[in-house]
Amino acid sequence: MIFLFVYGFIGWTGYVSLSNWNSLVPDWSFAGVKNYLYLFHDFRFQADLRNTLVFTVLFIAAVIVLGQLLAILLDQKLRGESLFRNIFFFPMALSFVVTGVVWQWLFNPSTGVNLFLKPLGLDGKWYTDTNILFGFHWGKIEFGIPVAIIAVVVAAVWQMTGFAVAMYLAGLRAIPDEVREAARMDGATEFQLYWKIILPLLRPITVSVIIIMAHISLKIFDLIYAMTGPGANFVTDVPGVYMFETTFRGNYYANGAAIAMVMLLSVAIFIVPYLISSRKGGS
Amino acid sequence: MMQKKAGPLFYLFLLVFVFFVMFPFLWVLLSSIKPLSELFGDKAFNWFTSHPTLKSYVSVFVNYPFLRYLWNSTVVATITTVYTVFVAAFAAYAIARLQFKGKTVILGLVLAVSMFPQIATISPIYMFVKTFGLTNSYLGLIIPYTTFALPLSIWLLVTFFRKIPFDLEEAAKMDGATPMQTYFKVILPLAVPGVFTTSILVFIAAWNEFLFALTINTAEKYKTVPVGIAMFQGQYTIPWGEISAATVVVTVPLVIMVLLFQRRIVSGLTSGSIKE
Repeated sequence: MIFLFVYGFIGWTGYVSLSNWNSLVPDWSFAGVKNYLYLFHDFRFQADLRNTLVFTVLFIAAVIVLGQLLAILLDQKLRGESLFRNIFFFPMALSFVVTGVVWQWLFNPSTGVNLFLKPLGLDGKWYTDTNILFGFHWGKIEFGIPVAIIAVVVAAVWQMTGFAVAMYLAGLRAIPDEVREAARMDGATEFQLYWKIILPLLRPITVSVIIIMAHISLKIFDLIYAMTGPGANFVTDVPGVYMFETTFRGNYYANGAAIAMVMLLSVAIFIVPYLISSRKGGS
Repeated sequence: MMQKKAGPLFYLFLLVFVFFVMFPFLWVLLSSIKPLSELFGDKAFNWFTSHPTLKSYVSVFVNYPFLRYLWNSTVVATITTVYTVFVAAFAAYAIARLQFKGKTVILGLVLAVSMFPQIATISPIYMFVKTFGLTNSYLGLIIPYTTFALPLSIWLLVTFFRKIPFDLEEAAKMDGATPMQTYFKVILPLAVPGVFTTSILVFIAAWNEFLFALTINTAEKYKTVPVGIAMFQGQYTIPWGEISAATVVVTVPLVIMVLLFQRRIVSGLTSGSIKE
């Protein structure tokens, strides 16, 4: 019943995205793909897509690399391992809003992490920076890596890495000790052991991590809304924030619904194949 | 067995990461006890403060309705948790035990709900809640929260129920127990760890939820903690002292919870996402 409810609401959003309802008064007349066309020609939405892409790629890459590295470090039979695990894990329990606010404070141009950078002669503007690295013009926007997005990526990585560590650690524990010993017997160095044997064995976990992190990053809203907002020139804007402002501040319901549908589809691309494959693999 | 011992270099390396993880907490903690004059300017980069003060903490509770936010969050998150886990435990038991056509499809659709962006349902849910006059009420948040918490809870609990051997129920039936008795006296006690894990996860999720809270409960009286914290920023000034204090206040309970229940939370989260 609940699920009919949710899928019904998604259907409603899908229908509204094809309607003319761009004011306070509901207008159910059919508009075709007009709202979508509008979006893809919109400067702000193009910037959003760029930001989402950059954010997702950087975020997932960092989480995977750090997650594997820390999990392997923690797997070395060290003392106080559970303490370390706890420490790495607990940003995970915070809300994205708190993370956003905390990092907004840390990246504040006149305090926080600049504590370390000032002596080096660096003056970080962080999320207020409007520069775009490796930029080139593409459509209406400058495509590249907005500097400000990097600040947001750092905050997101800080929060989510612990989760990846926990997953990789579970994966490492599932690899029998014989595998390692056999490799050592054959004269593999520790580095070879991990690079050639352990990491490939962890690949299924990496797939799970990618799916989970991708669906988080594609629909991210709280973190950015609390930390930076859309930013000057929309350097840190994402579809979620655009959708919220369009719908609830501007009353462009049809446009907002179209944004939501684009987000939904982008997430679906990741999770539908995953769900189908896990169904086959599972029960 | 070849026991590899970690060298001091490992610890050093790990400590560097620990520092990165802890630094934000420490910095906010420090900011919350600094006098306002030391938050910016020359003393902004100091590691210590020679004049620690609790002014910011007092101000959060006196000048802002922060206590109210805490109360709202507690009410909403508690009711959501109790209701969700109660319903999910029944549903999950049925799904785990009964054989019916299309079971895997239903489970797939259930899990998909918890992964799809909730933003795709925000406008219809807002309209729905508004039509029934539930904006700015606890119920206005509890309805969407339970809707989205149920799928994941059911999914988690199904995995737990599956681990309970079927023989137990058979035995109970032999002894003449009704299905209800079997459920409450035999199955549920065994599923307590699972129910507990699910409750923690649902509670944290409801406590942290932002999008619905921001949209549906706009009146000061019904704001929850995340909305309150995000909205501290005034039009012209950002009261960083108070924000830091508020952040510390909401973070400490969560930190304690994670320290106590870390193993359960991790196992719950990973079983919800890794295929078994």
